[in-house]
Parts: sequence; C-alpha cells; structure tokens
Amino acid sequence: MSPARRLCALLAAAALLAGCAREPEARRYSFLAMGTVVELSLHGVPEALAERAHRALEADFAYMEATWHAWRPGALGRVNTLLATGHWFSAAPSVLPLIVEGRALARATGGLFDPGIGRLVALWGFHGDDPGGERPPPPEEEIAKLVAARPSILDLEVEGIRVRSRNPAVRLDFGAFAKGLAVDRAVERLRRMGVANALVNAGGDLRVLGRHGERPWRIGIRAPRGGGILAALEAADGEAIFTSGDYERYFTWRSRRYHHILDPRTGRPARGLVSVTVVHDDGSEADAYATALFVAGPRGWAALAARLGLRQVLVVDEQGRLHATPEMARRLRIVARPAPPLEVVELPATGARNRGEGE
Amino acid sequence: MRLRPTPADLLAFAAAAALLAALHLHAWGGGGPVVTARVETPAGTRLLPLDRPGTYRVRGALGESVLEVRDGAVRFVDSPCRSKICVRSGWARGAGELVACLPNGIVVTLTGPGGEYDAINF
Repeated sequence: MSPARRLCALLAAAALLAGCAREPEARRYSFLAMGTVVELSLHGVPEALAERAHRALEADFAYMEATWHAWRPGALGRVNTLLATGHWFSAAPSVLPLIVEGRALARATGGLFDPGIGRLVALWGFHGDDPGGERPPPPEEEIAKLVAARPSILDLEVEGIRVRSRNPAVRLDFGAFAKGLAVDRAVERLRRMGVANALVNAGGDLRVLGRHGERPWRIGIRAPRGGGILAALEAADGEAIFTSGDYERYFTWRSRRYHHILDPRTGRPARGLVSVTVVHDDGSEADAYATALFVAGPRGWAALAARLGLRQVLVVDEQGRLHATPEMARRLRIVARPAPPLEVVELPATGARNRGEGE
Repeated sequence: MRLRPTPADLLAFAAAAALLAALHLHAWGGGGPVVTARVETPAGTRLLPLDRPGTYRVRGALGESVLEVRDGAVRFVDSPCRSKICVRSGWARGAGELVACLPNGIVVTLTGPGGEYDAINF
C-alpha cells in the first residue's frame, strides 16, 4: 500500500470512529395549532421526507383546529347551531366521527368524560385563548340550571350521517379528546408516509412511533406544581402518554383555583386530584380517560381505570403524593428531589369493559 | 519481511491522531454554548445562548414578554397575558424543553445536543 493510500485509510478509519461516537440527534420541528405548541421529532428520517412530514402535519393540524374549534365559527360551530334546533340534520363528515367516538367514550366512562357539556365550559369562561387571571366563578343559579338540564352527548340520536339532539342544552366541545385524536391521526399519517421513528407532542400530550435510534424515546413528566420534572419513562413503539391537570387552564378567585376539568355531575371543577397521567396504546382514549379519571377523583379513579382496562396510570393528589398502578410504578423513574411519596395501587379485579359496547 | 514505518506512515499516524482529537473536541468538547434558546415571536426568531445570563425583552402579539437567562436555563419572568401560565411554568433547562406564552405568541425552545428528554409530558 502506498503511503498516500495508507494515509487515506487511516483518516477514513479515524473519521468513522469519531463519527459513530455519538448517535445523531432527531430532527425537530414545532408549530402553533389547536391552542398549543405542536412538536414533531423525527429520527433517522431523510431531510426531504422530514420536511414533507412537517408540512403535512402542520396542514392537518390547522384543518383539525379550524374544523373542531369549540367556539370559533367552523364545522363544529354549525353542528352546534343545528343541534340546538332539535331537528334532524346531516352532520359534517369532518365532525361525525368525533360524535360517534365521543359517545363511545362517554358511555365507557359512565359519563365522567362527556363532550356534550360545552355550555358549562363556556359558562365557566374557558372558551377563550387566555382564560386565566383573577375573576369570579359564574353565578350558582346558572350552574345549577345547566346541571339540572343534564346535557350529554348521549342525548344525541345518530342514524348514519343524520343527527339530532333530544336535549337543547347539549353543546359539543371536543376539547377533552381532540388533541388525542389529532395526535393519533398525525401518527397514522407519518406511518403512511414511511416514517418509522417519530414523536408527536401536542402541548404535552404525545405519542411515539418506533425509537430514537438505538434507544427508546425518553419522556419527562413535568411536576404539576413549580416546574421541573417529576418523573421519567421510556416510551415504547405506539404508546400515547397523556396528562390531565388542574394547571393547564385555570383562573383564580379569592385564592381558590378554578380549573377547566369540569365534573358533569356537579357542573364545577373536579376536586381532589392535581393531575392524572395515562399511558395507553390509543391517543384519543388516553386523552378522554385521563379526564374521566381526574373527574372520578381520589376515591374513584382506580375502579374506573380497572373498568376501562387501563394498566398504566399515575395520579398526583392535592397533597403532592403520587399513586401509581403497579405497571406504571415499575417503569417510572422519579427524578424530583426530594422524591415525593409514591403509593402503588393495585387495581380492583373487574371485567374490563369494551368501550364500543352497546353502541 | 520486516515492517518499518516510513516517514509517510508517521505523518499518516500524526494526521489521523490530530483529526481524531479535533473530531472529539467538536463532538464532545465544551467551549461555546451547549444549549441555545430559540425564541419564536410574531416578528421573527432570535437565539439566546444560555451561557449569557441576563434579562431579555421580546415583543409579542399583546406586548412585551420578559425572559431571564441564568445558570444555563431560561424562564418567563413577565408577560402581558392574563393567565401567566408561562411565568408559572418556571425554568426550562435541557435541550428539548420548551416554555411558551401562547396568548403573546412567544415560544421558547431549547435546542442543542444531548438533552435528557426527547419530550416533556404535562
């Protein structure tokens, strides 16, 4: 071998050794949609495909936001206007699947998750881009009137594409599971585009595809009070990680916090828990179920989780204590210091109910 | 046959060692900011290296937000929104973390190599 060739060979070997020392980072994109920041991370995806995926997802999210928006004019707004008439009408094809899925989820959760309570959400002032600050809660009599009307998405009658409401108090608001559905659709779109390793994070609620190269995707769960990371876990292919917390949208009045997760039974913010995190293989279910478990509260969440067939749940109560199902506790690494107390909660034995049952 | 290094061999070894050292420093070395805050505003994007402590004012859709950079982390200290969720979010420290004031249209993303988490769930 000539000296020049040896030099080339050595240089190539050195470059290879140095090059493989660290795994390449994921390509990351972010954009604003559905009232939050959507982040897309892609690993091992060529630049041209990554750019196409980013553009496709940004367009999809913009479409879903416009179509499903709970208080701006759009397809859902028209559906709500027609529901109030009590007459039969043909629902927009972009909204009908949400009605069908929303009914199944409401039935599965015994009504603790119910997208039919849009009037209550509006009454509490959560239809707005900046609903926080210091302001009084709505008058008691108005809450009582709406609760007495018992609005529920199960008051709708659905025949094919035709829909009507038996209850004029129903107004649809898909805020409690739209992000889950959007993340599911994004992941499905990425799969069809040939992307094998991705993470879609819509304002803290996320789902992963594949891995981050040689390792799984690493997720930090933010501490509900005071910032920082509470716990970490590694997400497996296809898993969705969704959290419902009282710190996302809220206002205060006389030192009391009024958050956006309303209990359909009382018409008021659900009390007793600070956050519920669900790991599941379906984003829209994870989203809706996290809300339902939050509403079920400290005494009800475990039984409901068992009934829904959930196996991985983390709950933070108002005292800052953690409660986790055994499967969740096993994979969770608590990183907050001092580490908060963690209780492992065995779920009661029950026949897990299929959410499609009875539809 | 006995192998004896020629001057060209020694030169090749020296060049390879130097290249390896340079690549190592490039990939792993300190010097220069490891994590940078990418601040997106309605008017455009600016970068804040997190090794330069200070207070930075950025104009958003509603008015001026104030960011503080200290100890390799960034946070909102004030913003013209009502909710103040951005201020209560606290510090963002590692690559991949994000703090935002959505009403004011300001998103701060930390970019750089080797963040501990790929995404933050909340």
